[in-house]
Amino acid sequence: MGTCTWHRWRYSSRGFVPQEGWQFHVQTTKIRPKVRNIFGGCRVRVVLRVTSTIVEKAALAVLFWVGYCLDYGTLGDAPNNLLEMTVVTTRSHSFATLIASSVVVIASQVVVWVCQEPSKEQRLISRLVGTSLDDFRKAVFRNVPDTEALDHNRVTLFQHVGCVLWIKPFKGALIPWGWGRHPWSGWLITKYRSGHATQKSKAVFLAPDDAYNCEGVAGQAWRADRLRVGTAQSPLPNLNNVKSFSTFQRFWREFMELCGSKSDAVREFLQVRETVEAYAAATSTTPELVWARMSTRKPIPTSILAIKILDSKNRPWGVLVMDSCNDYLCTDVDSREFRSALKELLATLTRLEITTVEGQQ
Amino acid sequence: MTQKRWISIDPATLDKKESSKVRGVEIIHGISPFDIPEAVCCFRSEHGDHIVLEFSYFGEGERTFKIPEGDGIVFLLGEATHRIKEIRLTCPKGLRDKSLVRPILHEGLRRIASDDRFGAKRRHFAATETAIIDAEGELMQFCD
Repeated sequence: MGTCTWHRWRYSSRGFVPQEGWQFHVQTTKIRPKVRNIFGGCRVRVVLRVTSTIVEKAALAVLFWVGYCLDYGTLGDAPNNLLEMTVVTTRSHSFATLIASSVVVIASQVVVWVCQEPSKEQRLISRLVGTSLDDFRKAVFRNVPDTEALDHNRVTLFQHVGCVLWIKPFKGALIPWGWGRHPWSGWLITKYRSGHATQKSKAVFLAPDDAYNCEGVAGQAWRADRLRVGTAQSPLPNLNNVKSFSTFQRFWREFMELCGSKSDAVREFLQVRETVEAYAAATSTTPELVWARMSTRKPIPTSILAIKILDSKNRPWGVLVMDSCNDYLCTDVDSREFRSALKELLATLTRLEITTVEGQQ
Repeated sequence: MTQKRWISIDPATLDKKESSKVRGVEIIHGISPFDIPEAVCCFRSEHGDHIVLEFSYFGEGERTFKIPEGDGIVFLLGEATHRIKEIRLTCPKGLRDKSLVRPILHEGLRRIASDDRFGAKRRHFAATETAIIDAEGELMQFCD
């Protein structure tokens, strides 16, 4: 057993320095680092990536062998030795082998690409941005007690991108991007988030050139600079402890309603439906997306503040969203605390070249 | 050249938020924090015939372009953001009637706000005018 010290780093005018009060002494076991690396993280990804790399190398060797055989030269009617016999056999199946090997090489590369993990630099940047977002969260959610769950008051950085190949949950019945939309419509994707939980969220909002159709509070902030939805006096409807209905349950209850049923189940459904529609209208989303969110049992914000972020050339880059699922709202954008915290966060994003435009020093 | 002295601005006094209700939920629109000046400074130009009002914002280093608005006033706006970076006022030294400066500024800001090219920035121009009025006392001493 040994001891190692973990520092939490912060960016300052002196560069990266350990943050005071954030040193941890951790007891380490005798497991060697290499073994820990292999078995840490997602095992399936690592196994798939290693296997695909081996298969790819094998397929490349086969391709090399086929090329060698085709270039071997003229052979007599009867092969003299084992090598010539193998060359003849390979030549007779050369076309199929070439096609199969090429397909295997391409497929292996696709698997490696899908299973790739962020590089050390990307991890370091993610950690630094995460730390900055945590500091920003502390500054803007001032009254949140330490005992409150981190994911109840989050800060999320969305980036505007031109193309998104896949969206989940689907925005349309059968099309991921929704009816009349395509991967190149213009989207706001989750880039970084405060805290250590809910990091794998793939929330995507439509932010097209026809800005009227911008989706969600993030989309509306992209369109209108700055927006707060839900205040202490008039918050968003709280859907966190409301019963969720599946698509079939909704269809069935709506059918019952059309038939004139006034049972308790139908009345309960109508009440929830009205709340969901109010939530969707206020947040510029569709009721289907709100139902989908409810079905996942994830916390649903009761107050959202969003501001548009500019890049290093002062052109729109993305949106910063502060959402609360409890009574602790984000402080006002015009307050000095918010502005100084935002200034520090923007400085970090610029230094780490996240909001830096390519080609700019 | 005159030493620049920055006067910090309280953003809370500048931004007049617009509130509306959608099915009982309050929605508040405001100006982008990037469009609210952090500080303003005033100084005389090198030749002494102009008063320059300079504003600082988040995200500095933006290139500017000139917009002449009427006699005696020139605006320098950010190329990408169209926010006011500088206002140059023709104001000879020893101006006796300082009250003349304010209507010129007001008229210039009104004209620039009515320009269709900068229609999306009307609230920013209004906030800038409020910032100037708030810091007027300190700025006027440069007219002497």
